[in-house]
Amino acid sequence: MIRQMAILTGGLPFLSGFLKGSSLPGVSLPFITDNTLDAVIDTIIPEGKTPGAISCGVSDYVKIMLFDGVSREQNNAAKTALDFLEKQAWTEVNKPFTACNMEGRIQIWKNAMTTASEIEKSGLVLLKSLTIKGYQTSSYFMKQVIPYELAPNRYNGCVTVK
Amino acid sequence: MSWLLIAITVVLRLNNLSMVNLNLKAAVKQKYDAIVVGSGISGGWAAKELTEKGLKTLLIERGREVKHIEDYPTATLLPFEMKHRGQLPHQVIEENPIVSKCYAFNETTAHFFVKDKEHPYVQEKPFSWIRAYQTGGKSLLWARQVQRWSSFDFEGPARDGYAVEWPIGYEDLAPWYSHVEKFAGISGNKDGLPHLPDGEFLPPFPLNCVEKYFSEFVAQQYKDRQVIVARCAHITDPQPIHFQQGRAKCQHRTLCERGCPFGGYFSSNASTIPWAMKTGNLTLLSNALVAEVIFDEKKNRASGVRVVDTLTGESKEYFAKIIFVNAAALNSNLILLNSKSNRFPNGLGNDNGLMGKYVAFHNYKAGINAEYEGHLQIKTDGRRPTSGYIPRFRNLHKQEMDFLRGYATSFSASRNYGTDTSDIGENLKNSLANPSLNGHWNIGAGMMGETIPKITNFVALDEKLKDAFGMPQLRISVDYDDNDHKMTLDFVDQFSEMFTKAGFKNLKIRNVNHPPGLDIHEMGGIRMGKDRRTSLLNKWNQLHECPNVFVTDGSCMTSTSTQNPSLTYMALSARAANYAVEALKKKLL
Repeated sequence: MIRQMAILTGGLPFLSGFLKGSSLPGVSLPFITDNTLDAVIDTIIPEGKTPGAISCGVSDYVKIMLFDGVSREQNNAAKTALDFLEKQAWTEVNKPFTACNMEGRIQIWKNAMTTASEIEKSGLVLLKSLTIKGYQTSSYFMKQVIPYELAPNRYNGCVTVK
Repeated sequence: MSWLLIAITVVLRLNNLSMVNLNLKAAVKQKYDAIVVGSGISGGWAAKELTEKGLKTLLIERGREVKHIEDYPTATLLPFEMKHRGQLPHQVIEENPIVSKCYAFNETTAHFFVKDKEHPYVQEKPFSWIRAYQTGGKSLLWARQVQRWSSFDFEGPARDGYAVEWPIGYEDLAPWYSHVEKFAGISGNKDGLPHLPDGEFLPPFPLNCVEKYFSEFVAQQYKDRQVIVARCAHITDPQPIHFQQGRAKCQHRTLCERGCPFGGYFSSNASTIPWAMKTGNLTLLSNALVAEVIFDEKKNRASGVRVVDTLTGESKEYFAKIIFVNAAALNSNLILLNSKSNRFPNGLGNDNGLMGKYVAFHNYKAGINAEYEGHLQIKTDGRRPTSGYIPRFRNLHKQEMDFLRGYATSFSASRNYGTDTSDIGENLKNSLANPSLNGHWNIGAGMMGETIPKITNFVALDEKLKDAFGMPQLRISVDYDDNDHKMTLDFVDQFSEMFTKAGFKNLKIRNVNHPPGLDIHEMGGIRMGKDRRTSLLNKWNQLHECPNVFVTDGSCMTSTSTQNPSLTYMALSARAANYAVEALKKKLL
């Protein structure tokens, strides 16, 4: 069973308990959701030549925000969105979202954005915005991509654009 | 050696015993030369001046002690070092509908704000009361804007027939503005405007190119209006007096509300309180809520304060020759209204029944955002802790509109970077890593209007409801009026016209529907005036009816004008404290 789970989840770490309420109506394998979330975060900002969202620790941030940073309605929307992505994956390619390759996940996401209900779409938008914020405020991004100056000690109001 | 150890032990024990005796005596009657209630921006100034002049002073703060630098836990944190990256948990927001409306209340600053349940009050009319209970009070959190008042402001009520005449004029306060400005460190440009007098300025922060363009455009098109850089309490060129305080140049962090480890902006914590402490004359008492000022019926003067220890609930009394009440505007009203005696059954000094009445604030009801597609070859670099400022131009020299008084305006232009976030995957990742300058500047303006103090805008003690410490809850009944609405319409009309003429596009009017309070400029209730029948305080901020009590925070304000008021509180506090010292010497108090 553990081996099956690892295969299903593509080797992503098993994390649980970030969502308020443990049951996910309509999903027979509720444990998938955490991994689906990681897969979604990885799909939005993937690993590559440079670190992606997962290796920047965005997953922890998104889970914290879904746990107590957003409203119950937003939490439910995120849950519904993840559920919808899984259903879409089964409908479109007959396998879990987490088992799809990157190209397949992106296609499922884009299809979902056009076919999702209002609440599902709001959940997808929330997951994306949290992933982007988490990535842009990660140590890697703020130190190596667009360095943030804690104390710039200057303000120049008229700098010519090069 | 052993005899030596024994001898030392005996001496130490004897010393301890004598200290115990001393403490017991002190517990019987804690006496000081002066008591200052509240360690915020005005209380800090009162404490500094009084201790410098040699008065043994007790500074009482209802909140916890917050020491400069060491008690600023988030001052140097980066977003990824914070659990919610700066945002507060949703439950905190839900549980704090009032303070959550404040622009500065977030994960990095929440520890400096009073939560809604900690100090309940009654909103007869909706009013967002923002409070900060710790050493330094709101001086840690303020927006640091420091524009002087002018004679146009002090003469306003007499000229236009509202409130009561101020008992002082600009010339009375000007030297005290200079006094506090030199010490606090004020950045500003000498603009030579009679209605916004110049001060003791350190070098100004610059306007950016688009702000300069608008400034020049307005100067050409509107002879009565000026766009200048706002004066702010930031050190741009530290002087010896600032180094002596242990403060350094502002580093343009713009994380001010977390507390500044450089002391780059003025706060009681960074400046007046450690300065007063160095005199050896200051005692700081934290976690001590002043419930009332004690009136001695035999001596016909205030003798001290009754304090509730907020940690133990224990009640204690402290005594002094003079008392400065600087608990912040509405809390000073609360304390004095609660200071009842046979002589003053309606509150200390409240013979005329006007205490708590004529409360006013600043009207922030509207703003305008716009875009500007000029100057696209220019951007800005670094950060700036202030903005542009447009002093009041309505009804300045004479009454000319269908509303009284007018509004100042904050104004700024910024050139931001944007990213295309429409896609996901590698495309999104590349876009985030390569932001591009927006094809326009963002323009913003916000009004800061004078409101007219009225008897119908008031605070009072609730007859039944009490807080956790047994203090009556404050009933707040303060609202906008027709004058505010007319003024708001004029702001929108005038700035729409000015922006459009200047070539700004996509104007978006921000009609702010929140109740009063979020300006955090509530004033009045214990107003100054010439006549004891119509005011509570005289020209030296003494209660007419109890002259050894001084009130120099926002509650003393007779009118509000348009300028951010803290600098005026500082100057009034320093002036009153120096008067009090002289009066004590002359045995007038």
